[in-house]
Amino acid sequence: MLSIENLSVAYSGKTVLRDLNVSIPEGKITALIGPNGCGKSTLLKAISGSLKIATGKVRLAGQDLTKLSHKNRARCLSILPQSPITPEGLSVRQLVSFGRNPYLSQWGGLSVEDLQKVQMALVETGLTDLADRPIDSLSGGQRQRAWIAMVLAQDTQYILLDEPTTYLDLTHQIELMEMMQKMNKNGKTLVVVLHDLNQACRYCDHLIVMKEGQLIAQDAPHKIFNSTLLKQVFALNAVIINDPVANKPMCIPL
Amino acid sequence: MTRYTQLLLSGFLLLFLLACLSLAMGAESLPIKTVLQTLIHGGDQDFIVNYYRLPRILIAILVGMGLAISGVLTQGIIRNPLASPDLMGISGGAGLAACTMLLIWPNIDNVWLPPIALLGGFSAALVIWLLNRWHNPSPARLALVGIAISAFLSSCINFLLILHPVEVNSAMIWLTGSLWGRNWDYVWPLLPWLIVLVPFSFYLAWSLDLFALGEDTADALGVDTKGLQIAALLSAVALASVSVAVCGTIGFVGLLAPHLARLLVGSRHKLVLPVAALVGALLVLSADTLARNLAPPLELPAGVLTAIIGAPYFLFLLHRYKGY
Repeated sequence: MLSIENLSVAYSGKTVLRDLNVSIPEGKITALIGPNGCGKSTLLKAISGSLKIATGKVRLAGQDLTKLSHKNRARCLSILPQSPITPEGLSVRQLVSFGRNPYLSQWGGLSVEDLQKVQMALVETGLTDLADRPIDSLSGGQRQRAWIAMVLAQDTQYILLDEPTTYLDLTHQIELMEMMQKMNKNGKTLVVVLHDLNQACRYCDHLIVMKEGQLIAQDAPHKIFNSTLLKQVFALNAVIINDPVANKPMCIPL
Repeated sequence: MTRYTQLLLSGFLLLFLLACLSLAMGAESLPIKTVLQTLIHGGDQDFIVNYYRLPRILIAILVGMGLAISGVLTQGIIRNPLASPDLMGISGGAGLAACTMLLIWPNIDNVWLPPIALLGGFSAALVIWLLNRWHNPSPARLALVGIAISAFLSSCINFLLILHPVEVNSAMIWLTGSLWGRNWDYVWPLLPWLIVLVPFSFYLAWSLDLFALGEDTADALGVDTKGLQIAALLSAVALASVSVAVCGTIGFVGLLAPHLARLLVGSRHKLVLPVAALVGALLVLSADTLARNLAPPLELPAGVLTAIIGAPYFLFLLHRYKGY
Protein backbone atom coordinates (compact mmCIF):
# COMPACT_ATOMS: atom_id res chain seq x y z
CA MET A 1 0.00 0.00 0.00
CA LEU A 2 1.17 3.51 -0.86
CA SER A 3 0.45 5.85 2.00
CA ILE A 4 1.03 9.55 2.41
CA GLU A 5 1.37 10.59 6.03
CA ASN A 6 1.06 14.16 7.34
CA LEU A 7 2.44 15.50 4.09
CA SER A 8 3.02 19.24 3.81
CA VAL A 9 4.53 20.88 0.74
CA ALA A 10 5.17 24.55 0.15
CA TYR A 11 6.50 26.32 -2.84
CA SER A 12 7.21 29.98 -3.52
CA GLY A 13 6.38 30.56 0.13
CA LYS A 14 2.82 29.22 -0.22
CA THR A 15 1.64 26.04 1.44
CA VAL A 16 0.06 23.88 -1.27
CA LEU A 17 -0.50 20.71 0.71
CA ARG A 18 -1.20 20.77 4.45
CA ASP A 19 -1.06 17.69 6.70
CA LEU A 20 -2.35 15.42 4.00
CA ASN A 21 -3.09 11.79 4.88
CA VAL A 22 -4.01 9.55 1.97
CA SER A 23 -3.67 5.85 1.40
CA ILE A 24 -3.83 4.29 -2.02
CA PRO A 25 -5.20 0.74 -2.12
CA GLU A 26 -3.08 -1.86 -3.88
CA GLY A 27 -4.26 -3.53 -7.08
CA LYS A 28 -6.88 -0.90 -7.88
CA ILE A 29 -7.35 2.12 -10.10
CA THR A 30 -7.57 5.25 -8.00
CA ALA A 31 -8.72 8.58 -9.42
CA LEU A 32 -7.46 11.82 -7.93
CA ILE A 33 -10.08 14.49 -8.46
CA GLY A 34 -10.62 18.07 -7.36
CA PRO A 35 -10.84 21.60 -8.77
CA ASN A 36 -7.90 23.25 -10.57
CA GLY A 37 -5.15 24.23 -8.16
CA CYS A 38 -6.26 21.86 -5.40
CA GLY A 39 -2.82 20.27 -5.21
CA LYS A 40 -3.25 17.08 -7.25
CA SER A 41 -0.19 17.62 -9.42
CA THR A 42 1.78 18.84 -6.42
CA LEU A 43 0.94 15.61 -4.63
CA LEU A 44 2.29 13.58 -7.56
CA LYS A 45 5.44 15.70 -7.71
CA ALA A 46 5.99 15.27 -3.99
CA ILE A 47 5.67 11.50 -4.37
CA SER A 48 8.13 11.45 -7.32
CA GLY A 49 10.64 13.54 -5.40
CA SER A 50 10.69 16.49 -7.82
CA LEU A 51 9.40 18.70 -5.04
CA LYS A 52 10.93 19.11 -1.65
CA ILE A 53 8.71 17.86 1.14
CA ALA A 54 8.41 20.18 4.15
CA THR A 55 7.12 17.55 6.58
CA GLY A 56 5.61 14.08 6.36
CA LYS A 57 6.36 10.74 4.79
CA VAL A 58 5.56 8.82 1.64
CA ARG A 59 5.54 5.13 2.47
CA LEU A 60 5.40 2.23 0.09
CA ALA A 61 5.02 -1.19 1.74
CA GLY A 62 6.33 0.34 4.95
CA GLN A 63 9.43 1.83 3.29
CA ASP A 64 9.96 5.62 3.31
CA LEU A 65 10.27 6.56 -0.36
CA THR A 66 11.87 9.91 0.39
CA LYS A 67 14.83 8.07 1.91
CA LEU A 68 15.48 5.90 -1.16
CA SER A 69 17.96 6.80 -3.90
CA HIS A 70 16.53 8.28 -7.10
CA LYS A 71 16.89 5.04 -9.02
CA ASN A 72 15.55 2.81 -6.25
CA ARG A 73 12.49 5.00 -5.93
CA ALA A 74 11.97 4.84 -9.68
CA ARG A 75 11.93 1.03 -9.42
CA CYS A 76 9.01 1.23 -6.97
CA LEU A 77 6.76 3.66 -8.77
CA SER A 78 6.58 5.44 -12.10
CA ILE A 79 4.99 8.78 -12.84
CA LEU A 80 3.94 10.33 -16.10
CA PRO A 81 3.87 14.13 -15.70
CA GLN A 82 1.17 16.29 -17.23
CA SER A 83 3.07 17.68 -20.21
CA PRO A 84 6.39 15.98 -20.82
CA ILE A 85 8.60 17.46 -23.54
CA THR A 86 9.02 15.49 -26.77
CA PRO A 87 12.55 15.97 -28.15
CA GLU A 88 12.69 16.41 -31.92
CA GLY A 89 13.30 13.25 -33.92
CA LEU A 90 13.24 10.81 -30.98
CA SER A 91 11.80 7.45 -32.02
CA VAL A 92 9.10 5.61 -30.07
CA ARG A 93 11.49 2.75 -29.26
CA GLN A 94 14.13 5.14 -27.95
CA LEU A 95 11.58 6.88 -25.75
CA VAL A 96 10.31 3.57 -24.38
CA SER A 97 13.90 2.47 -23.65
CA PHE A 98 14.27 5.53 -21.39
CA GLY A 99 11.80 3.78 -19.10
CA ARG A 100 14.55 1.25 -18.27
CA ASN A 101 16.74 3.96 -16.71
CA PRO A 102 16.30 2.84 -13.07
CA TYR A 103 17.90 -0.52 -13.96
CA LEU A 104 20.79 0.82 -16.04
CA SER A 105 24.26 2.12 -15.27
CA GLN A 106 25.09 5.79 -15.78
CA TRP A 107 26.25 4.94 -19.33
CA GLY A 108 22.78 3.65 -20.23
CA GLY A 109 23.59 0.38 -22.07
CA LEU A 110 20.52 -1.88 -22.41
CA SER A 111 20.76 -5.61 -21.69
CA VAL A 112 18.79 -8.34 -23.48
CA GLU A 113 16.29 -8.32 -20.61
CA ASP A 114 15.87 -4.54 -20.94
CA LEU A 115 15.21 -4.87 -24.66
CA GLN A 116 12.61 -7.58 -23.94
CA LYS A 117 10.81 -5.31 -21.47
CA VAL A 118 10.82 -2.51 -24.05
CA GLN A 119 9.36 -4.86 -26.64
CA MET A 120 6.68 -6.06 -24.20
CA ALA A 121 5.67 -2.48 -23.46
CA LEU A 122 5.40 -1.75 -27.19
CA VAL A 123 3.22 -4.83 -27.71
CA GLU A 124 0.98 -4.02 -24.76
CA THR A 125 0.32 -0.49 -26.06
CA GLY A 126 -0.10 -1.67 -29.68
CA LEU A 127 2.86 0.37 -30.92
CA THR A 128 5.02 -2.32 -32.54
CA ASP A 129 4.29 -1.04 -36.04
CA LEU A 130 5.15 2.53 -35.07
CA ALA A 131 8.22 1.69 -32.97
CA ASP A 132 10.76 3.27 -35.28
CA ARG A 133 8.75 6.37 -36.14
CA PRO A 134 9.71 9.72 -34.60
CA ILE A 135 7.27 10.66 -31.83
CA ASP A 136 6.69 14.14 -33.21
CA SER A 137 5.18 12.55 -36.34
CA LEU A 138 2.49 10.66 -34.36
CA SER A 139 -1.09 11.68 -33.59
CA GLY A 140 -2.02 12.84 -30.09
CA GLY A 141 -3.49 9.47 -29.14
CA GLN A 142 -0.50 7.48 -30.41
CA ARG A 143 1.87 9.87 -28.70
CA GLN A 144 0.15 9.40 -25.34
CA ARG A 145 0.36 5.62 -25.85
CA ALA A 146 4.12 5.98 -26.43
CA TRP A 147 4.47 7.77 -23.09
CA ILE A 148 2.41 5.06 -21.39
CA ALA A 149 4.69 2.45 -22.98
CA MET A 150 7.72 4.25 -21.50
CA VAL A 151 6.12 4.06 -18.06
CA LEU A 152 5.27 0.37 -18.58
CA ALA A 153 8.90 -0.38 -19.50
CA GLN A 154 9.81 1.03 -16.09
CA ASP A 155 8.13 -2.12 -14.75
CA THR A 156 6.87 -0.79 -11.42
CA GLN A 157 4.02 -1.96 -9.21
CA TYR A 158 2.61 1.57 -8.94
CA ILE A 159 1.91 3.81 -11.93
CA LEU A 160 0.85 7.43 -11.44
CA LEU A 161 -0.54 9.41 -14.38
CA ASP A 162 -1.11 13.16 -14.29
CA GLU A 163 -4.10 14.12 -16.49
CA PRO A 164 -3.28 11.61 -19.24
CA THR A 165 -6.54 12.28 -21.12
CA THR A 166 -6.52 16.08 -21.13
CA TYR A 167 -5.43 16.70 -24.72
CA LEU A 168 -7.19 13.71 -26.29
CA ASP A 169 -10.48 13.46 -28.13
CA LEU A 170 -13.24 11.35 -26.57
CA THR A 171 -12.46 8.17 -28.55
CA HIS A 172 -8.81 8.28 -27.49
CA GLN A 173 -9.79 9.12 -23.91
CA ILE A 174 -11.88 5.96 -23.76
CA GLU A 175 -9.10 3.97 -25.45
CA LEU A 176 -6.66 5.18 -22.80
CA MET A 177 -9.01 4.42 -19.90
CA GLU A 178 -9.52 0.90 -21.26
CA MET A 179 -5.77 0.48 -21.61
CA MET A 180 -5.48 1.44 -17.93
CA GLN A 181 -8.04 -1.22 -17.03
CA LYS A 182 -5.99 -3.77 -18.95
CA MET A 183 -2.82 -2.71 -17.11
CA ASN A 184 -4.75 -3.04 -13.85
CA LYS A 185 -5.85 -6.57 -14.76
CA ASN A 186 -2.19 -7.41 -15.36
CA GLY A 187 -1.50 -6.52 -11.74
CA LYS A 188 -0.61 -2.82 -11.78
CA THR A 189 -1.86 -0.33 -9.24
CA LEU A 190 -2.81 2.90 -10.97
CA VAL A 191 -3.31 6.42 -9.68
CA VAL A 192 -4.64 8.88 -12.19
CA VAL A 193 -5.50 12.56 -12.06
CA LEU A 194 -8.72 13.13 -14.00
CA HIS A 195 -10.98 16.08 -14.72
CA ASP A 196 -13.86 14.12 -16.22
CA LEU A 197 -15.79 13.01 -13.12
CA ASN A 198 -18.00 10.57 -15.02
CA GLN A 199 -14.96 8.81 -16.46
CA ALA A 200 -13.44 8.71 -12.98
CA CYS A 201 -16.58 7.02 -11.61
CA ARG A 202 -16.88 4.64 -14.52
CA TYR A 203 -13.32 3.37 -14.81
CA CYS A 204 -11.87 3.76 -11.32
CA ASP A 205 -12.38 1.67 -8.20
CA HIS A 206 -11.45 4.33 -5.70
CA LEU A 207 -11.79 8.12 -5.58
CA ILE A 208 -9.60 10.58 -3.71
CA VAL A 209 -11.27 13.97 -3.58
CA MET A 210 -9.14 17.01 -2.78
CA LYS A 211 -9.74 20.69 -2.29
CA GLU A 212 -7.29 23.45 -1.35
CA GLY A 213 -4.53 21.01 -0.53
CA GLN A 214 -6.66 18.90 1.78
CA LEU A 215 -8.38 15.57 1.57
CA ILE A 216 -12.17 15.85 1.46
CA ALA A 217 -13.20 12.24 0.91
CA GLN A 218 -11.83 8.90 -0.25
CA ASP A 219 -13.70 5.71 -1.06
CA ALA A 220 -15.40 3.78 -3.86
CA PRO A 221 -17.42 6.00 -6.24
CA HIS A 222 -20.85 4.59 -5.28
CA LYS A 223 -20.15 5.32 -1.61
CA ILE A 224 -19.04 8.96 -1.80
CA PHE A 225 -20.00 10.43 -5.17
CA ASN A 226 -23.12 12.49 -4.46
CA SER A 227 -24.53 15.96 -5.04
CA THR A 228 -23.48 17.23 -1.59
CA LEU A 229 -19.84 16.36 -2.36
CA LEU A 230 -19.96 18.09 -5.77
CA LYS A 231 -21.50 21.18 -4.19
CA GLN A 232 -18.85 21.22 -1.46
CA VAL A 233 -15.79 20.55 -3.65
CA PHE A 234 -16.59 22.04 -7.04
CA ALA A 235 -19.35 24.53 -6.03
CA LEU A 236 -21.43 22.76 -8.66
CA ASN A 237 -25.15 21.98 -8.57
CA ALA A 238 -25.71 18.59 -10.12
CA VAL A 239 -27.96 15.56 -9.96
CA ILE A 240 -26.47 12.11 -9.67
CA ILE A 241 -28.05 9.32 -11.68
CA ASN A 242 -27.09 5.72 -12.28
CA ASP A 243 -25.09 5.20 -15.48
CA PRO A 244 -27.25 2.56 -17.22
CA VAL A 245 -24.31 1.04 -19.11
CA ALA A 246 -21.66 0.72 -16.42
CA ASN A 247 -23.97 0.73 -13.40
CA LYS A 248 -21.87 3.47 -11.76
CA PRO A 249 -22.86 6.91 -10.45
CA MET A 250 -22.87 9.69 -13.02
CA CYS A 251 -23.38 13.43 -12.62
CA ILE A 252 -25.41 15.79 -14.73
CA PRO A 253 -24.69 19.46 -13.94
CA LEU A 254 -27.77 21.63 -13.49
CA MET B 1 28.75 0.51 -41.66
CA THR B 2 25.98 2.69 -40.28
CA ARG B 3 25.31 6.18 -41.56
CA TYR B 4 26.58 7.52 -38.27
CA THR B 5 29.95 5.76 -38.52
CA GLN B 6 30.30 7.01 -42.08
CA LEU B 7 29.58 10.53 -40.93
CA LEU B 8 32.11 10.30 -38.12
CA LEU B 9 34.79 8.82 -40.39
CA SER B 10 34.27 11.46 -43.07
CA GLY B 11 34.52 14.11 -40.34
CA PHE B 12 37.84 12.70 -39.15
CA LEU B 13 39.12 12.45 -42.73
CA LEU B 14 38.10 16.06 -43.40
CA LEU B 15 39.83 17.17 -40.22
CA PHE B 16 42.98 15.27 -41.16
CA LEU B 17 43.06 16.76 -44.67
CA LEU B 18 42.43 20.22 -43.33
CA ALA B 19 45.24 19.76 -40.81
CA CYS B 20 47.65 18.71 -43.60
CA LEU B 21 46.59 21.69 -45.67
CA SER B 22 47.03 23.96 -42.71
CA LEU B 23 50.53 22.57 -42.09
CA ALA B 24 51.48 23.27 -45.70
CA MET B 25 49.97 26.72 -46.08
CA GLY B 26 51.10 30.00 -44.63
CA ALA B 27 53.50 32.88 -45.18
CA GLU B 28 55.92 30.18 -46.38
CA SER B 29 54.00 27.55 -48.39
CA LEU B 30 55.42 24.03 -48.43
CA PRO B 31 54.64 21.00 -50.62
CA ILE B 32 52.57 18.34 -48.79
CA LYS B 33 55.38 15.82 -49.35
CA THR B 34 57.87 18.02 -47.49
CA VAL B 35 55.35 18.52 -44.71
CA LEU B 36 54.85 14.77 -44.20
CA GLN B 37 58.60 14.11 -44.32
CA THR B 38 59.27 16.89 -41.84
CA LEU B 39 56.57 15.55 -39.48
CA ILE B 40 58.36 12.22 -39.27
CA HIS B 41 62.06 13.02 -39.79
CA GLY B 42 62.40 16.74 -39.03
CA GLY B 43 64.78 18.55 -41.35
CA ASP B 44 65.10 22.05 -42.77
CA GLN B 45 61.47 22.96 -42.22
CA ASP B 46 61.40 21.47 -38.73
CA PHE B 47 60.71 24.81 -37.04
CA ILE B 48 57.86 25.94 -39.31
CA VAL B 49 56.07 22.57 -39.36
CA ASN B 50 56.74 21.01 -35.97
CA TYR B 51 57.22 24.00 -33.72
CA TYR B 52 55.08 26.67 -35.31
CA ARG B 53 52.17 25.17 -37.25
CA LEU B 54 51.63 21.76 -35.63
CA PRO B 55 51.00 22.95 -32.05
CA ARG B 56 48.77 25.71 -33.37
CA ILE B 57 46.69 23.16 -35.30
CA LEU B 58 46.43 20.93 -32.24
CA ILE B 59 45.29 23.87 -30.14
CA ALA B 60 42.69 24.82 -32.76
CA ILE B 61 41.34 21.24 -32.64
CA LEU B 62 41.34 21.02 -28.84
CA VAL B 63 39.78 24.44 -28.34
CA GLY B 64 37.13 23.78 -30.99
CA MET B 65 36.21 20.52 -29.28
CA GLY B 66 36.11 22.15 -25.86
CA LEU B 67 33.89 25.03 -26.94
CA ALA B 68 31.54 22.73 -28.88
CA ILE B 69 31.08 20.25 -26.01
CA SER B 70 30.58 23.13 -23.62
CA GLY B 71 27.82 24.37 -25.92
CA VAL B 72 26.12 20.95 -26.06
CA LEU B 73 26.10 20.69 -22.26
CA THR B 74 24.81 24.24 -21.78
CA GLN B 75 22.02 23.85 -24.32
CA GLY B 76 21.12 20.44 -22.91
CA ILE B 77 20.66 21.72 -19.38
CA ILE B 78 19.20 25.16 -20.03
CA ARG B 79 17.03 23.75 -22.86
CA ASN B 80 17.54 27.02 -24.66
CA PRO B 81 18.67 27.05 -28.30
CA LEU B 82 20.35 30.43 -27.75
CA ALA B 83 22.45 29.26 -24.81
CA SER B 84 26.17 28.93 -25.29
CA PRO B 85 29.15 29.79 -23.10
CA ASP B 86 30.18 32.87 -25.10
CA LEU B 87 26.70 34.32 -25.51
CA MET B 88 26.04 33.88 -21.81
CA GLY B 89 29.13 35.81 -20.76
CA ILE B 90 31.03 32.85 -19.31
CA SER B 91 33.79 33.07 -21.91
CA GLY B 92 33.96 36.82 -21.25
CA GLY B 93 34.60 36.20 -17.56
CA ALA B 94 37.28 33.63 -18.31
CA GLY B 95 38.93 35.95 -20.86
CA LEU B 96 38.98 38.93 -18.51
CA ALA B 97 40.58 36.89 -15.74
CA ALA B 98 43.27 35.42 -18.02
CA CYS B 99 44.00 38.75 -19.67
CA THR B 100 44.24 40.58 -16.33
CA MET B 101 46.66 38.04 -14.99
CA LEU B 102 48.91 38.26 -18.04
CA LEU B 103 49.00 42.05 -17.87
CA ILE B 104 49.91 42.04 -14.20
CA TRP B 105 52.42 39.18 -14.37
CA PRO B 106 53.53 38.98 -18.03
CA ASN B 107 56.06 36.25 -17.28
CA ILE B 108 53.79 33.88 -15.38
CA ASP B 109 53.89 30.20 -16.32
CA ASN B 110 51.17 29.17 -18.80
CA VAL B 111 50.10 26.36 -16.48
CA TRP B 112 48.31 28.99 -14.40
CA LEU B 113 46.24 30.29 -17.30
CA PRO B 114 43.47 27.61 -17.26
CA PRO B 115 42.82 27.71 -13.49
CA ILE B 116 42.73 31.53 -13.48
CA ALA B 117 40.38 31.57 -16.47
CA LEU B 118 38.27 28.96 -14.69
CA LEU B 119 37.92 31.30 -11.72
CA GLY B 120 36.77 34.07 -14.07
CA GLY B 121 34.33 31.76 -15.87
CA PHE B 122 32.80 30.53 -12.62
CA SER B 123 32.42 34.09 -11.31
CA ALA B 124 30.58 35.12 -14.48
CA ALA B 125 28.39 32.01 -14.23
CA LEU B 126 27.60 32.89 -10.61
CA VAL B 127 26.56 36.42 -11.61
CA ILE B 128 24.30 35.07 -14.38
CA TRP B 129 22.75 32.64 -11.93
CA LEU B 130 22.15 35.41 -9.36
CA LEU B 131 20.54 37.64 -11.98
CA ASN B 132 18.22 34.89 -13.19
CA ARG B 133 17.41 32.90 -10.10
CA TRP B 134 14.24 34.79 -9.16
CA HIS B 135 12.34 33.30 -12.04
CA ASN B 136 12.88 30.79 -14.79
CA PRO B 137 14.15 33.11 -17.50
CA SER B 138 12.81 32.92 -21.03
CA PRO B 139 15.44 32.00 -23.64
CA ALA B 140 15.67 35.51 -25.03
CA ARG B 141 15.97 37.05 -21.56
CA LEU B 142 18.83 34.74 -20.67
CA ALA B 143 20.56 35.59 -23.94
CA LEU B 144 20.02 39.32 -23.35
CA VAL B 145 21.45 39.17 -19.83
CA GLY B 146 24.40 37.22 -21.23
CA ILE B 147 25.00 39.69 -24.04
CA ALA B 148 24.94 42.58 -21.56
CA ILE B 149 27.44 40.81 -19.32
CA SER B 150 29.65 39.92 -22.31
CA ALA B 151 29.61 43.53 -23.50
CA PHE B 152 30.55 44.75 -20.03
CA LEU B 153 33.38 42.22 -19.68
CA SER B 154 34.85 42.97 -23.11
CA SER B 155 34.81 46.69 -22.37
CA CYS B 156 36.75 45.85 -19.19
CA ILE B 157 39.29 43.99 -21.37
CA ASN B 158 39.45 46.99 -23.74
CA PHE B 159 40.07 49.30 -20.82
CA LEU B 160 42.85 47.08 -19.47
CA LEU B 161 44.53 46.90 -22.87
CA ILE B 162 44.49 50.67 -23.15
CA LEU B 163 46.01 51.04 -19.69
CA HIS B 164 48.71 48.47 -20.44
CA PRO B 165 49.42 48.70 -24.17
CA VAL B 166 50.58 45.40 -25.65
CA GLU B 167 51.54 44.22 -29.10
CA VAL B 168 48.47 44.29 -31.40
CA ASN B 169 48.38 40.53 -32.08
CA SER B 170 48.30 39.60 -28.42
CA ALA B 171 45.65 42.25 -27.80
CA MET B 172 43.57 40.55 -30.51
CA ILE B 173 43.64 37.27 -28.58
CA TRP B 174 41.71 38.82 -25.72
CA LEU B 175 39.49 41.06 -27.83
CA THR B 176 38.21 38.66 -30.49
CA GLY B 177 39.96 35.33 -29.96
CA SER B 178 43.03 34.37 -31.95
CA LEU B 179 45.61 31.60 -32.12
CA TRP B 180 48.48 33.93 -32.91
CA GLY B 181 51.79 32.73 -31.50
CA ARG B 182 50.30 29.71 -29.73
CA ASN B 183 52.94 26.97 -29.48
CA TRP B 184 53.66 23.79 -27.55
CA ASP B 185 53.84 25.80 -24.31
CA TYR B 186 50.08 26.26 -24.58
CA VAL B 187 49.23 22.67 -25.57
CA TRP B 188 50.45 21.06 -22.34
CA PRO B 189 48.54 23.30 -19.89
CA LEU B 190 45.33 22.70 -21.86
CA LEU B 191 45.57 18.95 -22.39
CA PRO B 192 45.01 17.51 -18.87
CA TRP B 193 41.82 19.54 -18.41
CA LEU B 194 40.34 18.21 -21.62
CA ILE B 195 41.45 14.64 -20.87
CA VAL B 196 39.30 14.75 -17.74
CA LEU B 197 36.40 16.94 -18.89
CA VAL B 198 35.66 15.44 -22.32
CA PRO B 199 35.11 11.83 -21.11
CA PHE B 200 33.12 13.19 -18.17
CA SER B 201 30.74 14.93 -20.61
CA PHE B 202 30.23 11.62 -22.42
CA TYR B 203 29.48 10.04 -19.06
CA LEU B 204 26.55 12.49 -18.69
CA ALA B 205 25.16 11.84 -22.20
CA TRP B 206 22.48 9.27 -21.31
CA SER B 207 21.15 11.33 -18.37
CA LEU B 208 21.04 14.42 -20.59
CA ASP B 209 18.81 12.50 -23.03
CA LEU B 210 16.38 11.82 -20.19
CA PHE B 211 16.64 15.40 -18.95
CA ALA B 212 15.44 16.54 -22.38
CA LEU B 213 12.01 15.04 -21.56
CA GLY B 214 11.55 17.71 -18.89
CA GLU B 215 12.74 17.92 -15.32
CA ASP B 216 9.65 16.21 -13.85
CA THR B 217 9.86 13.28 -16.25
CA ALA B 218 13.59 12.85 -15.63
CA ASP B 219 12.95 12.90 -11.87
CA ALA B 220 10.25 10.25 -12.24
CA LEU B 221 12.63 8.07 -14.28
CA GLY B 222 15.14 8.12 -11.44
CA VAL B 223 17.59 10.76 -12.65
CA ASP B 224 19.20 12.89 -9.94
CA THR B 225 18.27 16.06 -11.83
CA LYS B 226 19.82 18.54 -9.37
CA GLY B 227 23.11 16.66 -9.41
CA LEU B 228 23.04 16.36 -13.20
CA GLN B 229 22.42 20.08 -13.67
CA ILE B 230 25.30 21.00 -11.38
CA ALA B 231 27.71 18.47 -12.92
CA ALA B 232 26.89 19.43 -16.51
CA LEU B 233 26.99 23.18 -15.96
CA LEU B 234 30.26 23.05 -14.02
CA SER B 235 31.82 20.96 -16.82
CA ALA B 236 30.47 23.37 -19.44
CA VAL B 237 31.92 26.39 -17.64
CA ALA B 238 35.25 24.60 -17.13
CA LEU B 239 35.52 23.49 -20.78
CA ALA B 240 34.77 26.98 -22.09
CA SER B 241 37.11 28.65 -19.59
CA VAL B 242 40.16 26.49 -20.29
CA SER B 243 39.64 26.98 -24.03
CA VAL B 244 39.41 30.73 -23.58
CA ALA B 245 42.53 30.68 -21.38
CA VAL B 246 44.60 29.66 -24.38
CA CYS B 247 43.22 31.68 -27.26
CA GLY B 248 40.58 34.09 -26.03
CA THR B 249 36.90 34.13 -26.87
CA ILE B 250 36.53 32.55 -30.29
CA GLY B 251 32.86 33.41 -30.61
CA PHE B 252 29.85 31.40 -31.77
CA VAL B 253 31.60 28.00 -31.94
CA GLY B 254 29.73 26.87 -28.82
CA LEU B 255 26.46 27.93 -30.45
CA LEU B 256 27.03 26.73 -34.03
CA ALA B 257 28.63 23.32 -33.47
CA PRO B 258 25.84 21.80 -31.32
CA HIS B 259 23.14 23.05 -33.68
CA LEU B 260 24.90 21.67 -36.72
CA ALA B 261 25.50 18.34 -34.96
CA ARG B 262 21.83 18.01 -33.99
CA LEU B 263 20.82 18.80 -37.54
CA LEU B 264 23.06 15.94 -38.72
CA VAL B 265 22.35 13.21 -36.14
CA GLY B 266 19.23 14.09 -34.12
CA SER B 267 18.94 14.75 -30.42
CA ARG B 268 20.65 11.81 -28.64
CA HIS B 269 23.62 13.21 -26.73
CA LYS B 270 25.71 10.07 -27.20
CA LEU B 271 25.62 10.80 -30.95
CA VAL B 272 25.57 14.59 -30.77
CA LEU B 273 28.66 15.02 -28.56
CA PRO B 274 31.28 13.43 -30.87
CA VAL B 275 29.85 15.08 -33.97
CA ALA B 276 29.66 18.49 -32.27
CA ALA B 277 33.28 18.09 -31.11
CA LEU B 278 34.34 17.33 -34.70
CA VAL B 279 32.36 20.25 -36.09
CA GLY B 280 33.86 22.57 -33.46
CA ALA B 281 37.39 21.41 -34.30
CA LEU B 282 36.73 21.87 -38.02
CA LEU B 283 35.28 25.34 -37.46
CA VAL B 284 38.18 26.66 -35.40
CA LEU B 285 40.83 25.01 -37.56
CA SER B 286 39.37 26.37 -40.80
CA ALA B 287 38.93 29.82 -39.23
CA ASP B 288 42.57 29.83 -38.12
CA THR B 289 43.88 28.47 -41.43
CA LEU B 290 41.99 31.18 -43.29
CA ALA B 291 43.12 33.77 -40.77
CA ARG B 292 46.76 32.92 -41.45
CA ASN B 293 46.43 32.76 -45.22
CA LEU B 294 44.11 35.57 -46.32
CA ALA B 295 46.86 38.22 -46.28
CA PRO B 296 50.18 36.71 -45.17
CA PRO B 297 52.29 37.63 -43.33
CA LEU B 298 49.53 39.68 -41.68
CA GLU B 299 47.07 37.72 -39.57
CA LEU B 300 43.37 38.09 -38.99
CA PRO B 301 42.07 36.91 -35.61
CA ALA B 302 40.24 33.57 -35.98
CA GLY B 303 37.41 34.92 -33.81
CA VAL B 304 36.51 37.46 -36.49
CA LEU B 305 36.02 34.66 -39.02
CA THR B 306 33.84 32.50 -36.74
CA ALA B 307 31.73 35.57 -36.00
CA ILE B 308 31.17 36.11 -39.73
CA ILE B 309 29.34 32.75 -39.87
CA GLY B 310 28.06 32.79 -36.29
CA ALA B 311 26.37 36.17 -36.04
CA PRO B 312 24.00 35.66 -39.01
CA TYR B 313 23.15 32.21 -37.66
CA PHE B 314 22.32 33.73 -34.27
CA LEU B 315 19.98 36.20 -35.99
CA PHE B 316 18.39 33.29 -37.89
CA LEU B 317 17.80 31.45 -34.59
CA LEU B 318 16.20 34.54 -33.05
CA HIS B 319 13.95 34.75 -36.09
CA ARG B 320 13.08 31.04 -36.11
CA TYR B 321 12.14 30.80 -32.46
CA LYS B 322 9.59 33.60 -32.48
CA GLY B 323 7.89 34.42 -29.22
CA TYR B 324 11.14 34.60 -27.28
